[in-house]
Amino acid sequence: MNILDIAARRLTGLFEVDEWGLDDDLVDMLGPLTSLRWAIAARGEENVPAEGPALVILNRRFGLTEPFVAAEALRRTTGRHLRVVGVPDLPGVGSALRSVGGVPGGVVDLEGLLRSGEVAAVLLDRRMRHSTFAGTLDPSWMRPVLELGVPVVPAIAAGYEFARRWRVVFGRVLPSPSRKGPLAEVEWADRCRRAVQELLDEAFPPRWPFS
Amino acid sequence: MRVLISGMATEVGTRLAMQLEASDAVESVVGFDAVPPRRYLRSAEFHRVDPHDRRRLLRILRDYEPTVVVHLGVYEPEASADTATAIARNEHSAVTVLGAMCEVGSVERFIIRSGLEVYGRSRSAPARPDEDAPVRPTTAFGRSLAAVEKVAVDAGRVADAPVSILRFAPWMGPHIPVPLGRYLRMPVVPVDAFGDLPFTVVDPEDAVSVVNRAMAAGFDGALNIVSPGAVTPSQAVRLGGRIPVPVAGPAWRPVEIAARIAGSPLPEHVRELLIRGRVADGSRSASVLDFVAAHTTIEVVRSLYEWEELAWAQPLEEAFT
Repeated sequence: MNILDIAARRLTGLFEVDEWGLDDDLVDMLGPLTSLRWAIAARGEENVPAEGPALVILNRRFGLTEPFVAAEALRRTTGRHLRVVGVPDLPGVGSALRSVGGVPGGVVDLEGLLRSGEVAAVLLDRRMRHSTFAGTLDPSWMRPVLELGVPVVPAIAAGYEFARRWRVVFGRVLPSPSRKGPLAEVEWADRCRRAVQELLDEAFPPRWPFS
Repeated sequence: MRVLISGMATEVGTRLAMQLEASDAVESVVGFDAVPPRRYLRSAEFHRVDPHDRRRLLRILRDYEPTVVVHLGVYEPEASADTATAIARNEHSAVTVLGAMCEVGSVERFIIRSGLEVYGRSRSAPARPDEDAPVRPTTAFGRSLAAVEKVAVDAGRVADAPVSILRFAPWMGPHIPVPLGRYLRMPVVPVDAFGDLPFTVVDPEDAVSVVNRAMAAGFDGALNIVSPGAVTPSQAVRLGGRIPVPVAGPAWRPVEIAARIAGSPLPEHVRELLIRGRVADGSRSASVLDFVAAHTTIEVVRSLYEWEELAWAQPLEEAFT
């Protein structure tokens, strides 16, 4: 990363921004800053395909830090960007999140990302009180996954919001179902949620005999 | 095929007519518009017709009996007319032209110019809509385009002919009178302070190429026509060596006034583009029409700032003998 080259591209406008707003130069510049803020230990990144589309199902407690650490973990280990779908579309915040890889919108944008060969991520519902339990997953996210036959990778980001240490674990690719349709979407969403729960159970083994 | 071009005086309309004149597959070309084309046409027949003069238009259509109708008579606000006039012309022109075609009965296919503005840029709209995304325009121009599409679909149903609706990204290029191009060429260009979201554009030559392919394919449905890649407003301004100035909220009102005084009026749909961006998924046009734009978005924006000098052509001597 050459700061002078980046600055020159900024001044002349000759830098690349993709259709969803991802700015590669900006992500490269922010890399060292994220290292200062978070110490991220990543595992299982080889489960994410080296090329082509994939969908990562990620847990969240508050959902403020998990997308950033998971994206940074993937970028550092594989060089691929993690496109987190469903970021807030608000003035200022929305634009900033899009420039580092976030994508607002819903299923249509997820399908567009997958068709373009990107690694997209969808967050489970929040579980603020019980961080070791996986939230639910909206089955509608599964529609493009089943139609396009995209591999699904369950993942967890384990840590505390104001702490520095975070663990990111990418689980094994889930085998694609052969069926399609609303019922298959519901079943597949539940299967993905259970896969994330298994990763959470491994990361946070029960402390009490009956918990 | 006998091709009728509505809106022949537009940049794309004129270029299309010039290409079709040289095509062996085209028997003849007739077009009309409210103003004459800016380029010389060798064999294409042009009629200067007021869009309100339905009788004259019907007479031309009945005499000609076109088999392909290319409706490019869609006027962008503040391009060559103010917003109210452009919107009224769009809707009236669509009803008059396309309705008249149903009465003629010779049409085998319709090609309709529309725009990405039909998708709108509300908070709930997809960031990169494909053709299946709902049509929910958020600007007057977008609503008029949606109305044109609806009239076209109805006309196609009555005429039992396929209707290819081409939803173009904004056209841009040197010497083309479009509000976005004029605005970006100002020496100091206000851009949104809180959103620098990407947009895409289309070169007129690529637009002509798509229309040609659509005429041959006879596809029934909508297609997004975009150039590869995207740029943000501040990036586009920097590509031209201009100075971007961040503006937010109520400050846009004085910007609109100042831009109008400077000769670069800022209509609602261009302001929406600057604040909310405007991109779309163009992959279906690649598969249906085998179309890949020859120019990327960055190349099209750069061409806006690289105008060649106008050359004065000497008249042909034989024209005056």
